[in-house]
Amino acid sequence: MEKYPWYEIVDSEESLLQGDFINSCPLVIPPAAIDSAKVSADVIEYDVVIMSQSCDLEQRKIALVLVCPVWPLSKFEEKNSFFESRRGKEALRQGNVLGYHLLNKCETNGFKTGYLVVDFRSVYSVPFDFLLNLATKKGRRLRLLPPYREHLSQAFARFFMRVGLPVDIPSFN
Amino acid sequence: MSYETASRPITTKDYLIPYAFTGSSRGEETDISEVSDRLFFVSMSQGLLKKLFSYRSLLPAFEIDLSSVRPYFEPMTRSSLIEESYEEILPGEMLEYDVIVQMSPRKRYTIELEVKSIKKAEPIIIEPEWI
Repeated sequence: MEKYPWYEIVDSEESLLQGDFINSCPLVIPPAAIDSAKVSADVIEYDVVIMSQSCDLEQRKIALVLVCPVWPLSKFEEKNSFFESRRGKEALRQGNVLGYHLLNKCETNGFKTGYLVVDFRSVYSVPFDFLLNLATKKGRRLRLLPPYREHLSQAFARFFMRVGLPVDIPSFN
Repeated sequence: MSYETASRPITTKDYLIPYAFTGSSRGEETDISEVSDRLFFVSMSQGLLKKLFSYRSLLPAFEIDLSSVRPYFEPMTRSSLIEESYEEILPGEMLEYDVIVQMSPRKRYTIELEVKSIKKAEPIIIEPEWI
């Protein structure tokens, strides 16, 4: 376990990488229509994890950074009884729950968390400079380490690349 | 499975010809022979054999598990059991759960935005490094 830690803590000045956690990231939801010079917009805040590829971030090849909300597993248990059950949690651990990815606990002092669930169904893009500025202001942050970072990325890709067939082969009953 | 070869010859007080267990696994006949040989020497050392007789006759007297050297095959007449075992394995391992959890954001508030300009976006082209 010690040999392959899941997380590390990085300084605020470190460049953004895939797997970095940004707490309370504000996301602006545009109104249904922009038909005047002044509009009202909702702002929602999530704890997010960066999903964009690290090489794109390091070389500034993207203007918008993909992020996904992260929740403590305990919140999921409160919202849906399926995740309270051993079967639900085990399905989540095995990567068999579509759109959700389980991350391990973090035991580092000051950054302790329970199990975390990344929500792939809610993907937001945040302007790079905005996110960098926010991350710098928030101070040291949690970072998911390889190979768990790549495992997360792969799970996201698997979810995203699903193909639904209009006419599927009937099940073998 | 590897057999550990005895480092010293095995002898008994009544039968002084040293016998080294070869640990061979080359052929089942050799292994069966070695098993029966060992049984013989064990019996000799414990005084179980009162009179001399062919140690080969000991073989039916002991229950020897030959499954490791002579696997037992029989015609496959119980295919239903295999099907049942697959039935038990498949659902748990292959089922995907499509559960949607509606999570509220940690915080929600409204802001007023001033629209500075509205224009059609231009593509942002990132040149690959190898060009």
